[in-house]
Amino acid sequence: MNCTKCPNTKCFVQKYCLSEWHGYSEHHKIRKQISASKTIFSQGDLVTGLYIICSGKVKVLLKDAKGEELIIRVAGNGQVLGHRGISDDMVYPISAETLIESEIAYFSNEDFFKLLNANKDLSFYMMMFFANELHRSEQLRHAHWNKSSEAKVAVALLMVINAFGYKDDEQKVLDLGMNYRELSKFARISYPTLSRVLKDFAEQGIVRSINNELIISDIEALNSFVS
Amino acid sequence: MKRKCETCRHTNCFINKFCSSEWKPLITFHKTTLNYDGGDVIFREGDNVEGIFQIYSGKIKVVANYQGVNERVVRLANSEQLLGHRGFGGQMIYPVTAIALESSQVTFIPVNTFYSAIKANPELAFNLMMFFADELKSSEKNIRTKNKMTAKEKVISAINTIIEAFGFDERDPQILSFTPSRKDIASIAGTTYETVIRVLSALEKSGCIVQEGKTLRILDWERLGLNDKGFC
Repeated sequence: MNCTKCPNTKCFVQKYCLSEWHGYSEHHKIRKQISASKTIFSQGDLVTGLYIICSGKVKVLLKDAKGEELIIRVAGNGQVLGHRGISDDMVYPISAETLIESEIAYFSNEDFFKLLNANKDLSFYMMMFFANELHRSEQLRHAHWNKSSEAKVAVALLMVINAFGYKDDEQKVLDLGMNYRELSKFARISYPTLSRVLKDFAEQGIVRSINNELIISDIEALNSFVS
Repeated sequence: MKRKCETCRHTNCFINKFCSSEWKPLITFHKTTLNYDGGDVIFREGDNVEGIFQIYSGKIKVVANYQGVNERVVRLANSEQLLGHRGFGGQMIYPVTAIALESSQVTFIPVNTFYSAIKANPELAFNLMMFFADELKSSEKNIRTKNKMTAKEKVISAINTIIEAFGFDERDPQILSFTPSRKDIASIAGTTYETVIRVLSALEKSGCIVQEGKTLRILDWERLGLNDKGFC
């Protein structure tokens, strides 16, 4: 996609940079078309810049002390990727893999910092973005401590809603972007437990499942599990 | 008495460091100065976020699950640092509780003033972004390292956290300038009170530290490191 006439209204470069700077971002980005289930960068790689998802869906993985792979984030259309590498020690603490075919734009740190300096709305957005990420990351950990499966599923669903949104905004049909097995990995519970929790949620009227699609009926109830 | 940002000599304060001189009087105008005694709650988990705090003097602990089963100290904050930034993001509700460890003076800046200051001072915006990025990183690093630590390593790591936050006493550079209660050390380490008592006396026996009443004397900080050879 060309930044100067990009149709993606969710992209934060599109949204928070002055239109005079869209030419700059178009000129300096490196475009990559990546098919599904491919690695974008790996844990331990040197950080030289950051990525924006022009279109598609991505999962972010963290290998824990036991060597087990945890999904710590999912990211969609117009969202930033690889920002966990931005602070000092310059090596990615995580890996990123595509869930579906995705178009990705890469900016070097230098170019991105120029964009930040020139676009105060972008700096403000990025600050709030990191604040949000800190919040969500700790929420996920909190749910993990509490060891309640309901809370774990609720956090995972909220993170998917935040990243991918809905296929149908009116009906609240969730754009899940992955299968239930992967969702159970994201929530860090077993697949049977996920099925049981989703069934409980359905009985409580929090979600509905129709033709393999998940409908979120009561987002407030999901929020109440995690706060 | 309200302190003035434009004449403040706290050079590590984000406002002082990254706001233009035109902006400082404006912040002075909008801010309030609050005084707390040790043990006072500054904000509570579940409260709405109405602004950001800047610590002028004193020491503060930030606790998740305050007085609950899983109480954890997530941060120790010292003067010239920001407080309450964990409330930004999400639904603008504090996920943590802040409690003064000793008498502290804290500046409160309303959220609208804070946002305008960020938008008007690009350097402030950039550095706040990097600050949050660092916080995210250290928060996640904690998950990975704490999981595989032994009880002893957790307590040593907690002592290191306290030293990094508050440093040593100026008059006696082996004594911690501030030692939290043993119960607080347990919540920093993510272990139990009994374990802290046990590990501290083991460290004392091996000649690494001396317990002088409530305070700790560190005989050899190098040896109290978390690497293999630095182990007590």
